[in-house]
Amino acid sequence: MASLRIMRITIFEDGFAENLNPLALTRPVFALRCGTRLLYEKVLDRYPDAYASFFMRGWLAEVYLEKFSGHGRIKAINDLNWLRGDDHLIVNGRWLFEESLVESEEVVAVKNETIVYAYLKEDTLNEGLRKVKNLMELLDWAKMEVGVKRLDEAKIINYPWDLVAWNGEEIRREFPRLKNSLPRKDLSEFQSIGVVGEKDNLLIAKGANIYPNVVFDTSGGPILVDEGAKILSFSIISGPSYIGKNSWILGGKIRGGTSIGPLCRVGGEVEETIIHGHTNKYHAGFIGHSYIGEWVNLGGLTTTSDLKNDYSDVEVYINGKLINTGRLKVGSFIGDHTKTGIGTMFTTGSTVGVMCNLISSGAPLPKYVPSFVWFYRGKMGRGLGLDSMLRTARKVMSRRGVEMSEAEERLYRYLYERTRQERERLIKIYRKRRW
Amino acid sequence: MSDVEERVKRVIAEQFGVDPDELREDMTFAEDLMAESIDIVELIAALEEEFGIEIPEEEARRNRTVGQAIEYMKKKLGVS
Repeated sequence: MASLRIMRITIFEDGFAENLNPLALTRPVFALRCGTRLLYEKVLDRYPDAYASFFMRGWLAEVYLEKFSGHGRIKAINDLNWLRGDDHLIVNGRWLFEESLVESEEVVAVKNETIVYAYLKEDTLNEGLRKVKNLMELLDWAKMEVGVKRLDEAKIINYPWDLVAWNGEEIRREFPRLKNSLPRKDLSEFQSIGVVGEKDNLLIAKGANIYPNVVFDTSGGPILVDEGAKILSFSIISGPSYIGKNSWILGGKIRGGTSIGPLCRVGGEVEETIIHGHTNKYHAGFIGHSYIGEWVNLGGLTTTSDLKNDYSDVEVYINGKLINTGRLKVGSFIGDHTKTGIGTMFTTGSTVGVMCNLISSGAPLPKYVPSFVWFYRGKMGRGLGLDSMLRTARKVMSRRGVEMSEAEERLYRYLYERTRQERERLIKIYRKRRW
Repeated sequence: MSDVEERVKRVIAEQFGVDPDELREDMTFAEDLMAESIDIVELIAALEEEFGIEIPEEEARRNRTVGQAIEYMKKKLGVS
């Protein structure tokens, strides 16, 4: 679409956002990470002159209005009126955006029943907006008005494990552009680091620090160490991998297909995993084929299984239903602000909600742990309740110089009520079982 | 309630730590009882012991609800 100048972009959540729970409980799907960027950043990066608006589930809007208030390019949230006044690229937030698939004609592009994107002219938008009440109605109307094009090659994120499965490929795809745009350090500035594979596939951004005796293996794909990151001695990092801004790798083994967001502290062994950001996994223990949320603390020796002993497909609970992933390797999906004690073990395909406090008794935890529970002495319970959980969360955030806003607190209070029924049901089911 | 039904329900209830009266025939093992694959292996072993028969795992895993498990066991034991 090089000939088309996109000036306005809208990124939306559709009705499948909650398939990405527990990660999408606290953020819109397009604020999830895959590769080196969040999904919405992949779109905005391609059109640096464009302004944007977002459509998301209502309870997230207050927090994200606040988060984006200082972001000059994001002009509106959940506001249909913003769609008036110019041509518009409207993008599904679950699409791993690929600019080359966007065509310079008015069209609604679909994959099966999912709208991937729509490019609509100002006049079409103004006409449609007179007839509809919400964005999804507008897009359905536009399908008939401007026509539909099948876009089967579009990669749509349906479940959390899709983000993990495509992570390595996304790093490979994004690397060439970052290589040309990101200020980088010359490898000769570092003493005694070892590079296995092409040195050209290792990008160390300005401000990153690599201690002696670190090994980078680019034979499986590129490695990007972003600004301010610090890689301590005796770490080995295999590509494709991304180490985010101001994150530290503490003598860890970072295997291919891993993305670590900003301000994380990561040791032990991590393979084909996304760690969203502000998360600590300081010590030994294996995390594989997993997505770990924000502000999570994984105690020493916390370990995920990502392969069943009978090599059968891994099944994962999503919103109370057990879904066959069709995949051999799937780890754990852990919501924001959850903490695990030492030696916590997660069985293959585990799901853990937000703000849990998990203290293992040695055996793997239940495969599904709802939000806001404590697990201790082999039992699941309510712990000391939400206020205590919020106090801990504030303390964790303040250690990184971040204050939990009132809007964020309201979001967690809302989620506590929203997840109450499920939590009570599971506490009852598990009350006589022991782990 | 037939003898087989009562015994199957008792074994399931013991396995999942619930009261037999709380079990409904439409309850699914995976979603309502949060049965993990290893729980199903243990349940099959417990039913084998209770009824003194062998239960092929592949057959047993097709039973997704409590009611289906009861019907399966009745058929297996040749009772209606």
